[in-house]
Amino acid sequence: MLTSGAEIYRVEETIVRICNSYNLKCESFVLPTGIFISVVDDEGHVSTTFKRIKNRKVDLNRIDRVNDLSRKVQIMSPDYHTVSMELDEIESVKQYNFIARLAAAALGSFAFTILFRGSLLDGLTALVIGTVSYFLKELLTRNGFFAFTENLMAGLVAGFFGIAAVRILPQINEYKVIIGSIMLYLPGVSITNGIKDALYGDIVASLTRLGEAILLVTILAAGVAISLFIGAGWR
Amino acid sequence: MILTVLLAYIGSVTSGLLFNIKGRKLIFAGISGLVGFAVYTLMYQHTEHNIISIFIGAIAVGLYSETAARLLKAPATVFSIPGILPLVPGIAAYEMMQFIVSNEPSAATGKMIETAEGSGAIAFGIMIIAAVFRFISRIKKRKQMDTANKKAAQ
Repeated sequence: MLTSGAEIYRVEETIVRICNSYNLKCESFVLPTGIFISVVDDEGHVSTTFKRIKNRKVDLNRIDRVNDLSRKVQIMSPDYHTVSMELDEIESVKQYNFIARLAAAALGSFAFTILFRGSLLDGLTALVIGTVSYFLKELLTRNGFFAFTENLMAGLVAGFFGIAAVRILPQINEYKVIIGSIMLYLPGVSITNGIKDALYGDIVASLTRLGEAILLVTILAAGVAISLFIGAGWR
Repeated sequence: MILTVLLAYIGSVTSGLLFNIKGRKLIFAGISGLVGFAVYTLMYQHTEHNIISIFIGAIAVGLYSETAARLLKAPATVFSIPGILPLVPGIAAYEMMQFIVSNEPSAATGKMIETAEGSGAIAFGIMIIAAVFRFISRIKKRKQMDTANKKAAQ
């Protein structure tokens, strides 16, 4: 759940809910980068586990499914085998295929560009840029680069192609095109979760998440800035 | 107006798809962006005050996503994350960066504050609604526990 971008309180609640349904006392402490769980059984034996979280990838569908499952566990307390089978099934649900995501990225860039009062031509340019940058992002993800490099690349591509497009067709609004095509790389999940974590009292996690969001935005902007610097000389 | 709202819908649906929201929840996640942006546009036409319009828009997104979460039995974030994207002050952020690149710090500061105001307004709007809904659900739970205890006592 945590890897897919759930809020801290939701993860903690899920753990406690599952433990309670098996009549165990437990405490959990969750950070964006790891989970501590400590369980006390009827005879007073304490067992503690720790799980480090390294890779994070947003998958709201998975959060939704696990959340449902934990409620089911709470009501029916099924045996271990049933739960783990269900979990495997949730894990096996794939993301949308690459073409669908590529189309979504392209269409999204198009929609956001026109939403910022760009012309149709701006939108179409952003459509192309969105496709290219999502394609490159997928390439980076498959080769296991950091999230930061993905954002830097998205910024660079958007800036570079934005300026190049203006060179070819001067009536294009370069800043609308660039904004539209980087919109989808904004860390919406980190920001929203950061706020919600603060609300539920998970201050440590909240600050971490907001810090992550600021870093990601800065790097995205740095990518665009680098292209603009180069573009300023080129023009 | 209708066109821009539809574009907000497309923007939210596509970003929701990239966050891997499935089935009819994806459609409702798109409506979240539509509602938020429609409220923002209406408020902006009436008040001409950007920040307050963003704030009210974020409140609308928050209300919509908490309600949808209860009706469709999904976490509220499924609807609120794609929903706030059209409200994000992208233009101000971009202009800030452009001023930084062209070495005009004072102009950049103005834009920086504008960006911070916009994102703060979104954060605050979502936070208020989440807090209200959490409060209501706590009262409900307490009432349920009370009635259960009374029954047990009888």
